[in-house]
Amino acid sequence: MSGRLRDNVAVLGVGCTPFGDHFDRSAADLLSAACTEAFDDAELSVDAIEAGWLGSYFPHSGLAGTQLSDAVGLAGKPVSRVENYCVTGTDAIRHGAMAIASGMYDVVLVAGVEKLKEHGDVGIPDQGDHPVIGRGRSAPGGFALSATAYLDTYGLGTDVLDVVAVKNHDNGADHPNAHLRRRISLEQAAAAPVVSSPLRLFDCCPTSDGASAVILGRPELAVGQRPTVTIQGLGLASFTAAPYLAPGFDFLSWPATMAASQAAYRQAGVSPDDIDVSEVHDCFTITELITLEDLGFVDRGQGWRLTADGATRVDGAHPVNPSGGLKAFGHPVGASGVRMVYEVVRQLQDRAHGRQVPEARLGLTHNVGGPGGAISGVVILGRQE
Amino acid sequence: MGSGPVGADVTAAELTSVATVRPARRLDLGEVSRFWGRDGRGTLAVVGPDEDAVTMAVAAADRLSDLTEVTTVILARPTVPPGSGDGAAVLATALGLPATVRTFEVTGSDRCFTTALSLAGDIVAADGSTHVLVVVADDSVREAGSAAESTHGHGATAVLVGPNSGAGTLLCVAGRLDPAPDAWQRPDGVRANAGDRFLATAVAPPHLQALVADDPRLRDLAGRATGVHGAASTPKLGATLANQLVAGLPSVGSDAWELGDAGAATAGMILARILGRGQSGEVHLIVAPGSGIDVLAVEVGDGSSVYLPAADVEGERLPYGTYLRSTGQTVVTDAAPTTSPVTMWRDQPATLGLQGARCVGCTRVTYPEPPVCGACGGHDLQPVDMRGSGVAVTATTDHIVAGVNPGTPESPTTMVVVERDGGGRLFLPAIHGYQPSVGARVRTVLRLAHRGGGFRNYYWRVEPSTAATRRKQP
Repeated sequence: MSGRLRDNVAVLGVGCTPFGDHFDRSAADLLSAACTEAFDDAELSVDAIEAGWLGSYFPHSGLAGTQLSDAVGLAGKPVSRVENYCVTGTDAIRHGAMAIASGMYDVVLVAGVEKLKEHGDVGIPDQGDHPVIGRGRSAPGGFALSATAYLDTYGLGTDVLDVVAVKNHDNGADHPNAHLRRRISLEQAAAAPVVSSPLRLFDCCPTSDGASAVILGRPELAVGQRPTVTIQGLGLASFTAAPYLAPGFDFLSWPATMAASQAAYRQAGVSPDDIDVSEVHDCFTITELITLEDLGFVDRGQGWRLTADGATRVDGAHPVNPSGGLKAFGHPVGASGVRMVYEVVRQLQDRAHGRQVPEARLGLTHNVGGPGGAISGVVILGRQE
Repeated sequence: MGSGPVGADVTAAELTSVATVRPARRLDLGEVSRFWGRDGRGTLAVVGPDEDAVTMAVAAADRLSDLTEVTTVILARPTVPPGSGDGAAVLATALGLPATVRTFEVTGSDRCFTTALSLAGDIVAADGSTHVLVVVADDSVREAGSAAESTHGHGATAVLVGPNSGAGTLLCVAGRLDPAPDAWQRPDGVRANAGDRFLATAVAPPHLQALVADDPRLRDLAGRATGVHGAASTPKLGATLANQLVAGLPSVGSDAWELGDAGAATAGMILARILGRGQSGEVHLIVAPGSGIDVLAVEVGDGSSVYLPAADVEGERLPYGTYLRSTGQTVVTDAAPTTSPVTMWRDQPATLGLQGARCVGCTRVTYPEPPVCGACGGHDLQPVDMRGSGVAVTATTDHIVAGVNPGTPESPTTMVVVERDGGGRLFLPAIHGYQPSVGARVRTVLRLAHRGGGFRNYYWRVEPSTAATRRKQP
């Protein structure tokens, strides 16, 4: 596949609803809105779509792929539902990309949606783990284990996490679709209540409703008035659901991210230094710090320093999460991976809503999910000149 | 020592070792009183959200000298709360005893302990080579705001009964029944009783008089006793009971009730104090009221193999609100996912037994036991007992988990990744209130997990690893 993917799958159009509290909108409403925007962006109608993939993590529809079919009118077309922890959306894109690269289809629709606000507002509910052994686990708790280890190993204080939160809130404040559009200060971050030590409130992304959609197809079908963006590399790695129980796992990196990104770099024929802009999975501030290291942007143990030095700001050497990231943009689980592609595509086409990264030509999206970072997906996108 | 039934006639059994425990959480009676608009003071030792009679029973038995010869386990508790299942079977399994061990549960009265000891004595008398583990544990919840709530604490005492000498000798258990309902469980889980003063001053006296009048052996023991002790909720009531049997003899000091009584385990608490602090050869009588009355006569042994909690151990203060919530006296629904009897049975090696597996091919230890080795894909896996000590690799104290993970008993919960001595990792909650730092030495301890589905699920937590007397794990 690696030989047939690169440069052969274009992102023809993108769409995204605002992320946030959508008590008045159903999943179908959100999907319809996101997909309609993608159709308009691609200058295509739904009739052009030959197949679809829907990324959605929580099983609250009971409708499988028909949740997408019914929302946009794809009756009779092959539509599948994809679920893979927080990598759900990226995995859905992977399926669509493989379908185009294989030549099976010319144009496909990939969408992601999540309605987390239907479940209450305490956090992502745990649904499938063992009724005795699996008690006591939460999403922030799982990543907090890495935060504890990271700060203890490198002798750091929680202020290195606060810098990430402030930066991403700053970026999100300028994005019209972001869930949290308020700037915060380092002092506010440091004084916030503890969620799961050492993570505080502003170290954690919000629970959000939202949908995003992309249309993938052969590059020659792209809209002519703007640069074409194609998928250059795509990696997905799935490890055990309990990597932190492996002897020697030090909680300072996620093997799935390293494996997925290395596969993507290899396919794209690029190195980390070639990436101009990235949207990474900052479900918690610690996740962004460790991900910078896992993606090879900086040496092990230096992610905090890269951030503290300002290198990950929009005007820095490695702009990360110019949209505000999951931290400020929000994290409707199944939609996030698709939303990241939406954002990077617009960055590469010089039409970013919020903070435009100048001269962005090669972009990367990253997701990691599951207990202990069990799964990761990375997409590398490039602008065709 | 004679032979035959331990009833009124004959002595039979040795009390090889004894251990008594109080739970580590403390209820401030000043706070309780202020909540109800009253004035009060004192401290009670009470179970926390993750403890119950069974977990206390395990903690007590774990401090006995040697359980390798145990063939019978008797769990005594005055009432059996909803969702309890077979507590004696859980106790035996958590102690690592073989599946061939016989288990009994004695319940229905505050004199369940003395009844259980009597039964153990009979078993040992019938087969002089057998060893019987008797554990009394009381976690009864008294009604919020009641006077009983301010006097009744919790505790457990374990006794190893058998042919080997040690802590003392069981001389006799003499009793009379009287079905005054002394302890029953209300449908809401609160323990109700007829009232200690009623039992001590109305029910007990005629029976004690009859015992002394009709039982020559008891008269003889009463005549040469060094001390007589009443197992009641307060030292004053205890003295009243004791004097009705034999007037004028010394009793255990009121400091025994410093953390409240221990309910039905009070008799066990008194027994441990007698055997731990008395002089070898002394005879002591313990009066245990219930649905009727029991009189337990013991002779102090060599003072060995008696575990008493250290007097200066500070307990962790349990906020009254947390106590009310965890005892089900606030409107809380336990939304934990149901553990079906089928999955509970199938998963028992991993849950109660904490059993992992070691790959024969690459030696990696994994918990729970996987279908194939995660490292090498090997299928040849051998069971590993993961209980014991280790080092905290990392930890977090989670303040939202109880809201997103039904069945997490309390908030916050501290979750700990443990690198086990001998290999393998565990991901377990810490005991309520404990927050280990990276590198801390910890050890596993059985606790109540949750009551999802309407019955009690037990699982392991970690506590600080200390040098306190503990039975070695097999």
